[in-house]
Amino acid sequence: MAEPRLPLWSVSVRALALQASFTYERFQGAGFAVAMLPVLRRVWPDRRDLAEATRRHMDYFNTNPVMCTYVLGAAARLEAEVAAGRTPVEIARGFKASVGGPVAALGDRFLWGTVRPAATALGLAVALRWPLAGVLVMLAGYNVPHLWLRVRGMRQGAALGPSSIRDITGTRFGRLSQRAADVCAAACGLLAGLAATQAVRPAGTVHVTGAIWLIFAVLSGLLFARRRLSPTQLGLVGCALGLLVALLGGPRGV
Amino acid sequence: MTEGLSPGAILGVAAAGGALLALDAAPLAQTLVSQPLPAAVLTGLVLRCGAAAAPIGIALQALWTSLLPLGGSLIPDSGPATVGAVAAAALLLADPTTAPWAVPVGMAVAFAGGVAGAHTVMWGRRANHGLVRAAEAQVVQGDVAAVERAHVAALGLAAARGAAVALVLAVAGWGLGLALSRATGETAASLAAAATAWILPAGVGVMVAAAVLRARRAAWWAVAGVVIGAGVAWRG
Repeated sequence: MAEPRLPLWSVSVRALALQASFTYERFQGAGFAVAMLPVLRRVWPDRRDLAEATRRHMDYFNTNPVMCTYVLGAAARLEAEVAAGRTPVEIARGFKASVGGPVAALGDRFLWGTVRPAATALGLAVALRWPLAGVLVMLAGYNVPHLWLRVRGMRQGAALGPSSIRDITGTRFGRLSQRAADVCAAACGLLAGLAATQAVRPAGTVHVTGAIWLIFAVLSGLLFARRRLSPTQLGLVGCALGLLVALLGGPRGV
Repeated sequence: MTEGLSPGAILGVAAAGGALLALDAAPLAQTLVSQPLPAAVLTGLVLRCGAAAAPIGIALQALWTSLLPLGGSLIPDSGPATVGAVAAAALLLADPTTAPWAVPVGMAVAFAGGVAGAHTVMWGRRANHGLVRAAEAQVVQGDVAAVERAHVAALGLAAARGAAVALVLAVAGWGLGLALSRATGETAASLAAAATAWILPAGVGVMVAAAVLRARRAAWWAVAGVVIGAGVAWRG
């Protein structure tokens, strides 16, 4: 019997909402089942088999929400093989349970740890002078690799099955990740250089606020690096300090 | 700056923006539109208060970029918090007596709201638990569409939560600005603005530290970036 053509486009679109029904018990489990439903409906014509397969995919699952397309594509292919009787269901279940963690580690490091901060630093550097252009730079800088990975993951997963994971565990992706970390550091440095020089040199002369700017930047970086204060704590302290200074230093009539 | 927009219209924009950006943060697509810089600049564009919105977005973005959404970790609810803060700033800008408070109050509201909003995200995820459990029981009975309905309901819940957070923050910020302008003089607003201005260098310092900590050999790239950035700014 000819294998049914898998509705991968529907799975890709549904994968965008993988985390909609996120819970602390199953994490992305329900979202994974919803994304897989177009494939499950295609390969399991029997109502009882379909219900059993859907429930099976609702179990605990957690990975990087962008790289999840690698797992979804491979799981879709495996599900078709399980339905055709060529692969035991335990293989499909074991694959899903074993790849979530490693794919999450690679995806989080690459996307959250390097691509996102690099795009943000470049966007902020532009936004210091042109806010709207900065937003466009930031969104393009992140979403081009983001969407490319989603599409590539689904294609590779469906074409190669479980071995598609080698696409991101191989040395090529490791090198790409290292390059992205270098670009991220350079982009953050660029932002620091631009912002600091603008503060240090208002109207062409060194200004006292510039020195204070640099002291705050270095001090905050050190406090963060030594885990004394989180970025949110730094922001809250800053705002509380601002309001306190205002209330103490500028009562009505001053 | 906010000519032609009534408080009702500003609050309407806050609710709609909060709902949309709460979806982008984690439940749907994660395109980064819900990050502070895009959220502030785009909301400022709609509310015609871009000059006040940009510094709020830039400072928040610099400081919050280093917080990573790993696993089930709770990070600040940046989208709805930023929209609420910019809406509060727009409401304060409409009155010349409260206008000087727009940026410092907007920043304070965004930081406090981001932290408080993160706890509402946790409640939402707990509510999802009930939805998924109920759907599973129906799936076992043969109704597989139940999990899709639960999924859509969870999306609706996230949007409603985001709208509520943004609305509450806009009204709270407006009230705080009014109270501060009545209790203090104009000098106080300038002092507050000056004191909150240190958030941007703090954020930039944290961003550089985080980038170098992630990949220590990248420190030289960071130094090269600083030199190029300084050169560009010095010449420009």
